[in-house]
Amino acid sequence: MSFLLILLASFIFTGIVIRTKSIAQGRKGPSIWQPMYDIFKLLRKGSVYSTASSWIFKVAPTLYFASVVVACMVVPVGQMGSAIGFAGDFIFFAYVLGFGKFFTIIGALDTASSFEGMGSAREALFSMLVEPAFFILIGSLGLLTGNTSFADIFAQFHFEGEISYAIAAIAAFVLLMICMIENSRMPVDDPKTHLELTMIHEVMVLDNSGVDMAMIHQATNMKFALYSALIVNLFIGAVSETWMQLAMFFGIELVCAIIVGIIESFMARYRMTHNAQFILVLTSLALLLYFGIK
Amino acid sequence: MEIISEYVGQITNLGWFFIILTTFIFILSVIYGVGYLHHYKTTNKVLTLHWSMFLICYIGMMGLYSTQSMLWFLVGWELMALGSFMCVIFEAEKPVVLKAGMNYFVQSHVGVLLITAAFVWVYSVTGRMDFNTIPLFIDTLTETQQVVWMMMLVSGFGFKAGLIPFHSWLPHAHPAAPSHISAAMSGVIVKAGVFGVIRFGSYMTEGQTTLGVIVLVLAILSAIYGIVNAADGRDFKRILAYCTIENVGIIFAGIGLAYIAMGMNMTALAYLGLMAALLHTLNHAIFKVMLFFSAGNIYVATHTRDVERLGGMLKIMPQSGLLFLIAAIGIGGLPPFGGFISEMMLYSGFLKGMTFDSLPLSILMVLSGASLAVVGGASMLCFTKAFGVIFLGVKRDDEIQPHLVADKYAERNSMTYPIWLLLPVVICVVAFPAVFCTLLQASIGEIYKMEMTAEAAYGIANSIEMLQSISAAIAILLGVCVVLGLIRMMLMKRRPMAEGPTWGCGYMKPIQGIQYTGQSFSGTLAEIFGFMLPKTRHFEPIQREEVFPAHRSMLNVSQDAIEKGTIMPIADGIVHFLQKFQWLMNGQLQRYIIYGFISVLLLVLAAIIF
Repeated sequence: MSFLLILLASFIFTGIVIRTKSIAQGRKGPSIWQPMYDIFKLLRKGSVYSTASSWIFKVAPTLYFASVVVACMVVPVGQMGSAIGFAGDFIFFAYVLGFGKFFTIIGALDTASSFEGMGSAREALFSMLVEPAFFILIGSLGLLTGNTSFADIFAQFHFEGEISYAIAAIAAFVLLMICMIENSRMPVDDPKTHLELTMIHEVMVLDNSGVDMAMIHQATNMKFALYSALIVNLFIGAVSETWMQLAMFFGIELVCAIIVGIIESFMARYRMTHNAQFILVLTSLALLLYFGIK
Repeated sequence: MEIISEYVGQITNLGWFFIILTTFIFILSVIYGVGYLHHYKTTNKVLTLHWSMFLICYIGMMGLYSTQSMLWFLVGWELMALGSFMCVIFEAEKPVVLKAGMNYFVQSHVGVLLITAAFVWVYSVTGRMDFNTIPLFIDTLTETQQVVWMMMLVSGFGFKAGLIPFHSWLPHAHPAAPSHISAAMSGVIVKAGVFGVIRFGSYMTEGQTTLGVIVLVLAILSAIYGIVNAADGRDFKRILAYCTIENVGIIFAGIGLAYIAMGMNMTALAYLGLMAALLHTLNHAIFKVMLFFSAGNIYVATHTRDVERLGGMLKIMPQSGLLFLIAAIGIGGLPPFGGFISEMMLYSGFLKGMTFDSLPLSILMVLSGASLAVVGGASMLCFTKAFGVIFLGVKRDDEIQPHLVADKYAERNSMTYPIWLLLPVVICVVAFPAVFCTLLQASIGEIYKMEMTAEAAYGIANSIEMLQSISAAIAILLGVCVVLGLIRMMLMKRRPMAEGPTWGCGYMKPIQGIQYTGQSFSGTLAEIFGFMLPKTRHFEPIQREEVFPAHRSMLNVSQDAIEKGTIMPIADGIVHFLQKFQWLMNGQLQRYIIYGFISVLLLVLAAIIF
């Protein structure tokens, strides 16, 4: 159930981000369904493969998409349980995404392109730096509630009184930033730049086309919805009515999308060398949260 | 005769675990080694000596795992050290190999010295050498003395296991040795140190928390240090050697966690830590052997260990490439393979540890968990680099001609079978982790006399249940992969497909050298962790007067920071000191006879006086 919700939210998330950006720039902008139209267009197209690449390049997008799909199955939404849930499942969540990333990276290296190699090196480095922030953040929430699975952590989170909303605010900020890094969006990466040298994720998929490209786009959309669903969970615990939960889910997803759009519109990308520092700040913020809880 | 009667041949379950693992890996190494050394048959190399020494090493290991006597343990340990030393210096005519071998030989004996000292301490108190006397000996010690005794053993075994700062022989010995020896060394010989620590740690009665903290800190530092050096490496066997240091760090992190938990009477957590350590020992053995074997195939085909000269090997050696990929994912701790399961156990251990009442310990747990996350990320970087640069893209150096004969040889016969044989074990670990853990639990319970309350039993059952959920989740992951793959195939059937050159972003004349290199892939990481990776740059800068600069070359030589900082000054100091006595050795026979005469005279005098 929660998987379907996340899937549904993923269809419009990127559309809303693009719409927000266009409004901020004073344009009307494309329909919020445009990213989905693009995906359907790509699904109907054929593919071109580089002569340098091997079977790795062909399987990589599928495995990447599969990893994101499985990660979506791990995340619950409110009382709607997840398909996969056990003690410590948030580590599984992080590592499954890592599995997908592993294949994206070697898929990019398979093309023998120097640009794609550079993008993959950055992707590997930044996701390495993000890991501890995620571990400390969810680990601290686990410490607060005495549980280690997503479902239990979020179900018991609101029992901790007023403090849990303060924590939720910081946690939401950190999660949103992790979301931006994992999806290679603005403060860290600029997917819409005209220069391949300055990109991270977009440059890794330069050679993908057709169905593979469609899967990569949809995976990105789902990753957005996924991290926002985690943020939703921080606030939704106290609500018990289903309709209210649904409303809150879509409401917060919408807010997240708009915030992403606003950040993209009004912030410049950091210098690549400053990204590492920025990411480490998140780790220290998560550590701060841990001390607050302890 | 007393010495022989001392031998108590009673094998513990833990011993059986290591015996089975060692035997399995050694058999595979022999099968692989026959293929690997095929080319040496025509040279005047003495293969008989090599294989005899390999066997002696094996016998030594069987001895040390099966005995219950410290004396025989040392005998087995020494046989193992000597046998593996002889195996490492197979190509002793190369100075670098001999140097690496001597380095290993000396360092492993410093380790033996520490272990012997700890055993002699026991002997001096109890007058006996069998393990049953150790509890009596422990009773006479204070808490601090127990920690000191165990630290002597941990550092002694650490020399074998490759725990920092005792690791510096490893990155030299592995590239120097033939691949089947590197595999056996990294897979099982190094693990003898793990066995030693777990076996003798069981006798401690007090001070486990202190010991656990020390071991955990060393272990986490090893893991980070190992993986950062591995990620920056250029020689692929050196990369694998550093990766061994990383994994030994992860194993010892489990042990450290277990000791901390023991000190706090948390039996379930102690079991979890030890089970994670042992399961990771198994996983690492399997994957590292796979990696060394497939890397060996690459070496046989190309005669280079420099990743920067390789590329595109997947098309030439598809089997080795696939197996390397599986092992790389497994050892990086990513699902769907076994490495993930043992790391997951460790994570859940750290998460439980965060609830410790003592704040410093809790912080230690958070930092350990976060470091483990960094190590996981860095190991992904390391292995995407290793796999990507060696196997993917196109060849970087035209001089490399994957030797057609050698290549076919390496791809078809005894050099790939042993790697495929490891695959069923990989699948078993993922599919039935609970079975393995129950067995490990029994072997831990046999030697560790921890209080087994109902709560502890429940905790252990809980963690084993978690493992089953992980395999179920992994099954779902594989299922989703297959389903999506099928959907993709169906969609692709009706679509036009074309092949073309890689998009060069508008650049029309790409050459192979334009590819991203391994060094640039890990460049930013190397910058961040620069303090761990000292590099000497050999480069002559362009002078002002040079109007037309001549051809130049640049060479970066990386060194091991700890070796440079600690081991080398000590070794240099010893050499410097000993050089002061060089005038004694001047090559004149008459002088030497006089030395002999003087020493006999001194001995006689001493005999008269005392």
